[in-house]
Amino acid sequence: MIVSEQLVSNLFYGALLGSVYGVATMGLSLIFGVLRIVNVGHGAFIMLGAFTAFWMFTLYSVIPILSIPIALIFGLALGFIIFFSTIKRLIDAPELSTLLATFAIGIFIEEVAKFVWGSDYVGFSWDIGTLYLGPVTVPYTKLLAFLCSAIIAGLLYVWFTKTKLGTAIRAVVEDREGAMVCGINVGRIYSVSFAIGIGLTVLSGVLVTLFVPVGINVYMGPDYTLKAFVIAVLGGLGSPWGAFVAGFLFGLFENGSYTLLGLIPGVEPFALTRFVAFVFLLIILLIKPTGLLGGE
Amino acid sequence: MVLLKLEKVTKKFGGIVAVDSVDLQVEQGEALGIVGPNGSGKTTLYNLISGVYTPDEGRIIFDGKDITGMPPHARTPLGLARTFQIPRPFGSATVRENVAIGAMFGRASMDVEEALREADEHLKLIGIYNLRNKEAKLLTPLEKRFMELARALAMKPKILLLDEVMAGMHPSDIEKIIETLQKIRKEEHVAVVSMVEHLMHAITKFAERVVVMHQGRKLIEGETARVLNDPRVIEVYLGKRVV
Amino acid sequence: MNIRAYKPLIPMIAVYGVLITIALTVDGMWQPVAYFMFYIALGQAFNIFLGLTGYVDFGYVAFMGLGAYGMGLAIKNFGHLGLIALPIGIFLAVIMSMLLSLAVGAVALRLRGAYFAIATIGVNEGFRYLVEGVRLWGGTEGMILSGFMRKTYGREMTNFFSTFLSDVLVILIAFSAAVVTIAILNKKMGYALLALREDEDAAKVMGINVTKYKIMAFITSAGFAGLIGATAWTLKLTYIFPEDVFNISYTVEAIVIVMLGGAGTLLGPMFGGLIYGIMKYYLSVIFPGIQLLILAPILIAIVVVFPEGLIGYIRKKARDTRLSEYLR
Ligand SMILES: Nc1ncnc2c1ncn2[C@@H]1O[C@H](COP(=O)(O)OP(=O)(O)OP(=O)(O)O)[C@@H](O)[C@H]1O
Ligand SMILES: [Mg+2]
Repeated sequence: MIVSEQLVSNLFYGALLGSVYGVATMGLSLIFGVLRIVNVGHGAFIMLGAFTAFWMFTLYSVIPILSIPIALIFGLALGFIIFFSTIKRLIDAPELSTLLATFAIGIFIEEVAKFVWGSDYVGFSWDIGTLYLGPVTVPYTKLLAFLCSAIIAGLLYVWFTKTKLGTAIRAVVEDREGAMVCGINVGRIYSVSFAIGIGLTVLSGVLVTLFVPVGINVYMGPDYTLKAFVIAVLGGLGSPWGAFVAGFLFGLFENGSYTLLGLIPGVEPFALTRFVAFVFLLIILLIKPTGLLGGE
Repeated sequence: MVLLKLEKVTKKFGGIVAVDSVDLQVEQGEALGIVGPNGSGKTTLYNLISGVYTPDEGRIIFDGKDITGMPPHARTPLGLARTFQIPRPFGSATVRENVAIGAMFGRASMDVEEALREADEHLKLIGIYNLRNKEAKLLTPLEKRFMELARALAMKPKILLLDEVMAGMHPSDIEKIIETLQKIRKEEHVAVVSMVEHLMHAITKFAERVVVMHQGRKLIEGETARVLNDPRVIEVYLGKRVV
Repeated sequence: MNIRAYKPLIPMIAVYGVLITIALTVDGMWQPVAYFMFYIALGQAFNIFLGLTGYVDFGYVAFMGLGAYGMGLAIKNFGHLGLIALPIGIFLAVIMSMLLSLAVGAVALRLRGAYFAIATIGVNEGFRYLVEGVRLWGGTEGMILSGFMRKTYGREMTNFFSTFLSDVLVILIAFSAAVVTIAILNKKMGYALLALREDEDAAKVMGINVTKYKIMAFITSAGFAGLIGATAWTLKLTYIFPEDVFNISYTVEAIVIVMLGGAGTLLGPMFGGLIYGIMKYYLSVIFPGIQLLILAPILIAIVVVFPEGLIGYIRKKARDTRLSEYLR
């Protein structure tokens, strides 16, 4: 049947995209987990990553996969700069201040980006063939994006569990005061976590370009911010791993629901899918604010 | 007359049993001291009485009413007031406003004007009237403690729960506060329950009866002098002689 | 009632007087002043919730959006009855936004901090996509009322609505919101909100029914938002698009205004709205296209070095002086 084939194909696509969503949300969750700050300007960093990939490809013919480390380094540097110029002074400030500051930072980045790249939609196409698997057709680039996401998440996991710094970060997420008592330099953990969070987010922007070949725009961010919020909450705010898994699920949900809602006459499946996503968000927040995938 | 009664009250945090099947009675106008080493469950006991937590097991009766499941704001007007071990002032409000808030909401009905006047009275009573227009967050830790006491008194409670309120105070201040507390006990029949970590001098001067907590349980209770010299109590405090 | 506690309204009335005089006497100043007044109203209304409770509602614009639809629906459905459609619209706007806030408040106000902020974003976006998704009230195409209004009320009258009446109503809304704010501040409710903003758990133990007061502030604030949506948007612009009326940037502008002037103060939103409106208006004239680029760093600077806002700062300096009676 056509619908079921379409559903399978869309779900497959959703799974690939979902892994990218996962990486794109891990930074948000990490920053919230460690600093208790919601980065409302999150999407702007994804946009920066997307433009990094775009520029590298169109100006220097660097394929997006190779832009990943470049975006990461760019993001890390940016993360440190932002941390030491503003975030550092807002660590214990009320929510109002941090929400507003991160929002303003996002706007600032967008407006500077507009100077550099203009406000038109741009894109590039990197074609390395397509895989045919029964009803499913996938460009290899998207498979590659999936692979990269999985590797990045895996590397991060190893780094978090096996290195001293990673362990210290987890300790701070668990219990700030306790970590301080144990002699962990919490100030350093804040700056490093913030930078890694931003680095990851900029990096994820590169992966995003493999899914939205012509959707690169300086104002593309807020859409991703909202998605990242839903995903982060689903995965348990503050848990990067939860975020990765939740991203994956969200990709499946988004594409599955889009296909199914499209069958109902007289509705806009795209808008309704989002409506359903936000309803989910509210339900999760109310029933289990620590996230469906989170622990206690 | 029994004012407050805890029946087999238990509270667990994960694996820790912070309060373990505790029975407790407080008479009207009584001066009760609760002592116990670090982590013995004293603050948790207050949190259970004031409604910050609900017990996992057991019942709490206040003034003849079962208040076990009541939200904290509903308990307060019945005549419960407490201070916090780590003072919790409303930071950007002035000292006077802080105390007025206690008067305004701690009692059944009182309007703003009246509450502000009440606040002044209690600030004078505690001796911090000169600080009244200062932002509460600018107070020293000790001043905050005085303010909490004034705020709790302004609530005109039937029972006053003090959590380490006199720790670190100057002996002459302690003297003065104990005097004030004894006065409200006599004149207004307020029961005063005071918690301290160490078996300090103050408690012997103030309390008629003492309850000793140890690892969430009530170790012993009875008349002050007798309890504080009980070998089990001394043992809990690592052989430290008291009084 | 204690009349003296209402003294801070005096400087406010003075500022309104100056603004209205300028608007009426200086050629071409009516529209700019109306533009500033929109921001003042927005700040004044949002301050009742954000400023007084300290809760960040990122979905605040949803109440304005709903108010806008309330007025739109009234004009569409009752326009044929004549001018009565406008009061019906005002009524619908208030009722609809208050009902939504009651529903949202009853569930979401149990959440705190970042969780509340994210939940409210969810409400706003969810509402917008519901309107678009099931094609409610015109769906993505929105409601375009200009043709209908011109046919029903005539060109003159429609123009009068959008270039004068709506502006006057916005001024009235801003001022009413301010009066309500100072009334709250002077009442028990003001003290309850002050306490819960500082330390919600301690406030509960002091006997404050925090849920009750949070919801009261939320509903009041939402009702004013509905009024602003009905007048400053529907009546003035004569169209409603879901992507405009649920646009999160209005929420953020409202937050900026409240912060700039001083959260939880009476006069803060007025000065915040005025400064913000003037900056935005003239920056877009002098540096078209880059006003946001200039605003963003200013904003960050405010948050980092000036978190108590203009009035908050002045109040602190003026404590114990006679001026303090007029500052709130
Ligand atoms: N909110 C909580 N979550 C987890 N554990 C808690 C919590 N509150 C108290 N505890 C634990 O319950 C036990 C009793 O703590 P409590 O604060 O009641 O003791 P205390 O007698 O007041 O000690 P102190 O003299 O240090 O004030 C401790 O082991 C403490 O770690
Ligand atoms: Mg304690």
